Amino acid sequence: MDHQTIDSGNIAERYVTGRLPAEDAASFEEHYLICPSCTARVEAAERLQRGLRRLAEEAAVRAPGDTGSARWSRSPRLALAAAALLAVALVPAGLELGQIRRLRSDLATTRDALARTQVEKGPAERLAAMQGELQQTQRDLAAVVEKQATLSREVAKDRQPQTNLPLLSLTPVRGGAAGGPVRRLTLPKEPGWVAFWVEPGDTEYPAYRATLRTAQGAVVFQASRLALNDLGALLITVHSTSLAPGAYRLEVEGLPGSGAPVAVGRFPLRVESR
Amino acid sequence: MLTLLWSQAVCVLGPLILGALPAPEGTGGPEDEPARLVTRIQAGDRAAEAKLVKRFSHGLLLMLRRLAQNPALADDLHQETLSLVLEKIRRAEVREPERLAGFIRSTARNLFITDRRKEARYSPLEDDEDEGSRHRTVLADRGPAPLDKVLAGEEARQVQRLLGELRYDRDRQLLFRFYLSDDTKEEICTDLEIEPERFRSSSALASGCGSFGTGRRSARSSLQG
Repeated sequence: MDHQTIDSGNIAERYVTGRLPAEDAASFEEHYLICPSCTARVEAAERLQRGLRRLAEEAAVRAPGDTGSARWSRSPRLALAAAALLAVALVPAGLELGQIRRLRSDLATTRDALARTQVEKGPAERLAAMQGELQQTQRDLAAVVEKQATLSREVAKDRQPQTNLPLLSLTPVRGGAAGGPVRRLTLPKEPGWVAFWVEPGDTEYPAYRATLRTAQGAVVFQASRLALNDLGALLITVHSTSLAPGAYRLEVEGLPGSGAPVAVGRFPLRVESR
Repeated sequence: MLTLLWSQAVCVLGPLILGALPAPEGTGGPEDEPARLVTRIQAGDRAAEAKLVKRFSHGLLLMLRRLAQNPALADDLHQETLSLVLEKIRRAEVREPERLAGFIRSTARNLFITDRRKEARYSPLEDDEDEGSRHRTVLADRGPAPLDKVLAGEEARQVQRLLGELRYDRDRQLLFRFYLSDDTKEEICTDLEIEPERFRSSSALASGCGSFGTGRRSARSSLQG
């Protein structure tokens, strides 16, 4: 492995974040054992990851009135889940920020057009045009400001630490491939994220697929390319608005490199409203 | 702003500068090539043994800490690996001296696997657990040491400063998602509207690493005085 490949492929950062295939990771380990600059790069990426994780955990624990904060801080598993959920929660905020920027750009364009009109027309026409366009701009501006305020509120809400998230831990029951006990998931009062923490068992697969079905067999969602995290579990987050109270079944399958998927867990669930 | 520019410059120019500089300390010249080191150790050269330890020690410890997730265990395995590797070299049991790094890596991993198996074999079963072992389980503190907690807090403050220096919120999101989520590069690029080819040179990703090049060991030594 050479430095050009390492640099162009973000190999060190992908290694630290567990995104590197096992073969490449082995090859990179052999390289950095003997390469001080790559060792330093791995250490730097590790420090950055630890710092980000700590910030995410602190944000989750600092939430006011969070009775579960002590629980988060005591359990590394739950803290890690919180960090991942927080990172996921940032995504819609980012998309909405993009919309705000586009709206600001539209407003600037309107102002430019108004300024050009002032220059091009005579005084009387200019005045009439200005009044008309001013009114139109004011209406547009009011609409944009209102939309911006709505978006800002949504962004602010999404950026709040996500606390008291329902987290359902699912572990296969020995000999219980056909079902096992029915787990209960109580939806949060306000719309928000809920998480499934699935520990698929002893046999490890390169990837997993999770399918949530209603009792009638209709697919609510299906997620492929799931990978085990450092704790040997799959973390799946779902927005509560996509789950209506009722009976469900979460099916988890291991995806071997070749061949058909292998069922590793079926978890009957009952989703209840608060 | 100056810090940001500097860290970006470090990232862009870093690889070029590193490529142009003479080999860093520890990488040595032809005499220190892995195959040559093996030959010298087999000939009884004690300086070559010291050289091998110096050259592989840091990277090996980093790899073991990632593997074991337990600093004390990693330190033990580090010593054990180097000792075993030197013994095997002296006994001429290294078949491909030019692939010494691979040999050291596989030795370290095998020692770790052996240790895990031993640990699993001697773990008390819950059903047979007596009162004493239950108490030992409860009393064992598996949390980080106080110094590690302080260092972790300092790292978090540094990251916070770095995030504050980033101009675009998109870069902050990129950092969080790349380092904390399991999303693929393609998914992150699509969501954040970043061209895949620009991902690598993203100022957030790059300057993040550039600003963190000082290493935890220096922070540890400065805190320990």
